[in-house]
Amino acid sequence: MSARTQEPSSPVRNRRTRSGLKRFGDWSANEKPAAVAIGFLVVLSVAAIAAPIVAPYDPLQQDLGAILNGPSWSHPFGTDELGRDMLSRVIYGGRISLATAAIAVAIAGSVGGLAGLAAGYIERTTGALIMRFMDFLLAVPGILLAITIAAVLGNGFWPATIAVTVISIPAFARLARASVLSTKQEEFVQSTRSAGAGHLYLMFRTIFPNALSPLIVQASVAAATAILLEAALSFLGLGTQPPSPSWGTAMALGKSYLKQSIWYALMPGIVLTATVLSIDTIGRALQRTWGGSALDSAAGRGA
Amino acid sequence: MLRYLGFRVLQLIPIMILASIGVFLMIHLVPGDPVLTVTGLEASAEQMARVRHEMGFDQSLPVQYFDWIGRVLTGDLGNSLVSQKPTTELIVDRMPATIQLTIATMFIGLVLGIPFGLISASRKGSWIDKMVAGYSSFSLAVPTFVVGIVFILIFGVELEWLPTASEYIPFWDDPGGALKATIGPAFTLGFYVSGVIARFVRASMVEVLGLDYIRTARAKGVGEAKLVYKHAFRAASLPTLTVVGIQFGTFLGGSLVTESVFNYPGVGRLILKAILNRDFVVVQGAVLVVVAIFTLVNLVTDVLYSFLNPRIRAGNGG
Amino acid sequence: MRSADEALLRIDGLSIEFGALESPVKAVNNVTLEVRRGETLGIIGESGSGKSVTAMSILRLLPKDQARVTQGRIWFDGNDLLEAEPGQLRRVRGKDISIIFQDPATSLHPSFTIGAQLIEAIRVHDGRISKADARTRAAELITSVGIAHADERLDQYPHQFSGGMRQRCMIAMAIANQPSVVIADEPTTALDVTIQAEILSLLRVVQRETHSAVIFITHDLRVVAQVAERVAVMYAGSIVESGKVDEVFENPQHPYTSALLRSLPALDHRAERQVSIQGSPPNPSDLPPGCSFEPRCDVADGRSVCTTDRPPLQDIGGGRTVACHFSGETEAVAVNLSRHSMQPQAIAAAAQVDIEPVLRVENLDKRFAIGGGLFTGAKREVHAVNGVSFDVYKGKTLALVGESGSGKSTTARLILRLHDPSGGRILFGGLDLAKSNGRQLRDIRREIQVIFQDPFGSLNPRLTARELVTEPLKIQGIFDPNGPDHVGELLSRVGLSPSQWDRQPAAFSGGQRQRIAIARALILEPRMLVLDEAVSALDVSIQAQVLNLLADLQDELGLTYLFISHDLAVVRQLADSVAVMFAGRIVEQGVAADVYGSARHPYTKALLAAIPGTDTQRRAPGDDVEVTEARIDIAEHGCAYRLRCPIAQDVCATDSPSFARIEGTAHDVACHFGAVPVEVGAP
Repeated sequence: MSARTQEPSSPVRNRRTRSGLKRFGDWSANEKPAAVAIGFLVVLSVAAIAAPIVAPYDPLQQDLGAILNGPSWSHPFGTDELGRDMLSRVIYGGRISLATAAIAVAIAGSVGGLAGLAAGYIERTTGALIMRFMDFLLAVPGILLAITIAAVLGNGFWPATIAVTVISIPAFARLARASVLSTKQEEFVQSTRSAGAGHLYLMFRTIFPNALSPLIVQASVAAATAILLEAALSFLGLGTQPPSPSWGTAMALGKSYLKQSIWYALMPGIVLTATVLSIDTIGRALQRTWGGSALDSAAGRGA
Repeated sequence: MLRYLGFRVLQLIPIMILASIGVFLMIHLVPGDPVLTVTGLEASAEQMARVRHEMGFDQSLPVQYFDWIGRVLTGDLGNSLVSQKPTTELIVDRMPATIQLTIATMFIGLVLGIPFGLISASRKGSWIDKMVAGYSSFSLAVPTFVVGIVFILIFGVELEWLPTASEYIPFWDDPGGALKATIGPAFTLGFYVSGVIARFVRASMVEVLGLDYIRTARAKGVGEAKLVYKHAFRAASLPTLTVVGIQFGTFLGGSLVTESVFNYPGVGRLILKAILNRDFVVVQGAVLVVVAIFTLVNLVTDVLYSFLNPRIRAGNGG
Repeated sequence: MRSADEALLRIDGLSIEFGALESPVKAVNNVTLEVRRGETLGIIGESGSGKSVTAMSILRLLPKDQARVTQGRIWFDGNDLLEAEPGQLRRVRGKDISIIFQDPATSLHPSFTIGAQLIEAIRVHDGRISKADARTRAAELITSVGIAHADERLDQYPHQFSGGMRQRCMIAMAIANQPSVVIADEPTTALDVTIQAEILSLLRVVQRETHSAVIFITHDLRVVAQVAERVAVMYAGSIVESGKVDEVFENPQHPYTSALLRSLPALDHRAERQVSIQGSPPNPSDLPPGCSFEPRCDVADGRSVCTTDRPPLQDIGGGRTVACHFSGETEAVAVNLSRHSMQPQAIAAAAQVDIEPVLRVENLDKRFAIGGGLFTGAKREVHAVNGVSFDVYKGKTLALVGESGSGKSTTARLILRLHDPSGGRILFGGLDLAKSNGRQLRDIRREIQVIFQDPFGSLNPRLTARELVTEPLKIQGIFDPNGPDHVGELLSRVGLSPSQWDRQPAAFSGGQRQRIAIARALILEPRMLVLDEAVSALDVSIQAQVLNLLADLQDELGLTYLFISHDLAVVRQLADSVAVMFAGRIVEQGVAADVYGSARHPYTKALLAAIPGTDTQRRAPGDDVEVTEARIDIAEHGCAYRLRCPIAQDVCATDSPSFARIEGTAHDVACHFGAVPVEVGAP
């Protein structure tokens, strides 16, 4: 009840005086690895979107005269067992990984976020029901659930994406709920309530905007997990099917030719690792900037 | 305490019922006729009808569910559609291999992860901290199957120290052989687990080291080493325990992939094969068992947590 | 042998910075201090003045990755502690110099027993002591700080102790090795006033017995007056004045000390206006080149030397120092830290009774179910508000006073309908708020607005000042963007200049945030404001500004206030009538002058007596205080206060006292022996 003095005085905040771009510049100067990671992801995304223009070869074009080659000037990532250009296949494969991540994060983020918001705000019956359902989803290990869903829905891009999306939901819901529960206790919410605000106003105008930043960090975690899971499903033969050039599929095939060419299996693995590493680096930098607890996201990670 | 334990065990029941319904429904919604898995594609209509009747597929779903769950409660998970062997027997056969792999993985994960996390937190901002941060980021980013492939490449293909495909050799029969056979998948998974644990231990240690009571201990004259290993780790070990529990589930899932990379004959490989063969009886049984184990491990972690936490143990929690 | 006058600990020209090297935050600037054997040195300052940073730096407890000592030395026992090797430093920590921290709730390790923590404190400096002997010593220590059943208590964990008891444990730990210096960093700030009184007298006993020197850090002038012999006043990282407490407080030489003393709310009367210091302390990363206090100083009067030259700390004789170019011109103040002139005032309070109250609360009740059945299984009920009744009259202020857990804030939240009452009536504007819902409730909410304690949590961080004040209008659907700019008018009225209107809360200081909160509350033109500890988090100079603003607004707009506070001195300045709460009930209620001047309930008396710096608490040479046993407990049956009450008798255990009116007044008391005055000593 008594006043606590605040000392040492917190470093002075002088925000909001500079433009967004300038602030981004300052931020990346402080977070150099994150700036590099953003650069990598931008290059990768542009290449994936503009794959038909950027890729040196048709990813399905076979060249039986040059099978299982190592890296060379004409094939920087080497070739596969049918002589297809691995660089082109990796670029096309990026479309699959990035699309899965984007769809999974967008849908799981909004569904999980809204469910968590409702569960945190309403607490009683609705909230308890929502959270019990999330507990059920969490009761099955993520990848096992994804495999089962993918198997039920049949193999391919969409079944894999749906599987990845479903298992990403509970993490968002839990985090959103926790964040809403703590924001709800803030006095500014009570003060807005006593100004006469209704439930919808409080939920969407007052609480949610202030409860959002942990979800943005979670989005990066979910994106990394989605890419890893999609690759794992494809690797196990439950995702995108050959000859479609998914990274996971390429590695599964390449594994059989390790003795002939290590590059076949390795190059997609390296690009995949770099992608996930970049997303993780950005997510952690965002977390440092917003000062959230590193504990939350370190805990809830799958694959 | 006992009351709490009882309460938690009771809480398991609805989760398991929900999980069993979920598993059952999911499997029964599989497109494609499971009868074909048994009879083969060439079967006549009468043959299929007979098998369908024998297997009870002509009953309504609720009847099938209660039939199934009734048998599950007696330990009968049904016979494999492919090999006709009892699923329970298949799982029991594979279980020792999985348990051995689990222990090895957790050992590697903890032995690498905890010291890395502690060193990194006590030297916050130093080069060693940055190295550990890089290590854990990398171990989380690189997919287990890539680690597995690289492992096989180095130790199996290039150096030829280890077999490229592992088998299950019980540790008690032949420790050396068991080590050789298990190290590959165990390291592959343990590498990932160690990254998670290192990152988490660091994060919770950094948080704890900034707390008032650590400052109190420092002001008492407690040395830095004791401060980190006794005072701070005591407090950070509780959340770490929870994470290990959660990671256990992830690990159970991850073993699916790793076992497949190394052809390791564990439960994960069994499930995967069954899925690929559309052997839904085995999938259904094995998934249920995995969910039960996972839930049980979470329960044990929770109970252990509350036992170690004086606030709850003394019964003043809430 | 050293003489008593020789400094035991000497800080020499210490400067400390935080933050980035390019734009450092200068927390401490060239501070020189000394502490002599056995004396108590008080360091006083507002938040951000650098007092705690200075104290923490003595044992090098500042976070290494954030704080940098840029110059200075700290001499102790012939060594510079800032240069000490880790091993050497460790031997000083807890043995020669120990610390008591501010918040006992977080300063003890939650996973070790109190015994283990005490034993460690002993054995870390003397490994030859066996565990059993150390335990015996630990038991002696906690007995000596007034904790009964030592043997049992040693095996308990911190969460099984109350806040005051934990602070006693911290004190026991601090004196475990008979240190020559004890640093007490705001040791009572997190505690209730009656607990504070216990801890302060305990510290005095402990010091008498151990002959330790004490460095006492506090923001509270009354506390420093009570405990310290010498005082150093800090402002913006520098010492501006030091000397004997009595002399400094009676005849301050620095304008800041003088203004600070004058802005302290008086206890014995209600001042017309609070003396306040204009503006707020400078930004420590951007200190003015001259005197740091110059922008707020009324002595400087625009003289150029104050804006260009930083005044050095000069010795002015008699053991006093001051850092001011014109110290001779500082206004002398006769600050009255005591309350000897508290006389009951005959006020025609009865006149009020005929008027219809703006708010009438009748038998308000609130029970919370607690105990997360999860771990304990059993659900318990807490009776947070128990049959509370009062009236608040138009244009007047009723203060609800009590310590933490008394139910005063819950009462406020029930009136605002942020909680739903379990029983009783809340009559306001012809409606029973306890039973209103939906549209009705939303309309009535316009009429009662609230201001909360925490200026950092009570404003939505994503909105600007202007948006914050506009928001209630938009919610009520009465915002007219083309009409006259009421929002701007109001923001100006509470003292914010137009250049500040488009900033977010993070850019404002605590006092400014509270001004925004006031503007936000007033934009709906309410009839009543609920002020829930509205000035408690503010420094004393800022507190006075906000209190003045509130008083002016009340006069101008005829507002009615319900003022919730734990601070009796602040309440004295604003309240027309006072209701004292204990354990969910009102125990005494009446016109402010009556309650302060002739308190009848033993609890009210204890609260008043516990205020530091008052007659009963004033430090006198050779005074004889004893360790009081840490007390606990609210009684479940009969009078809730009886376990702490010095005059309790058998009837108190069986019958719950009901309200009795003291004849010829509007003064009610709920005590079996309250209608007759009974002398009660300090708690």
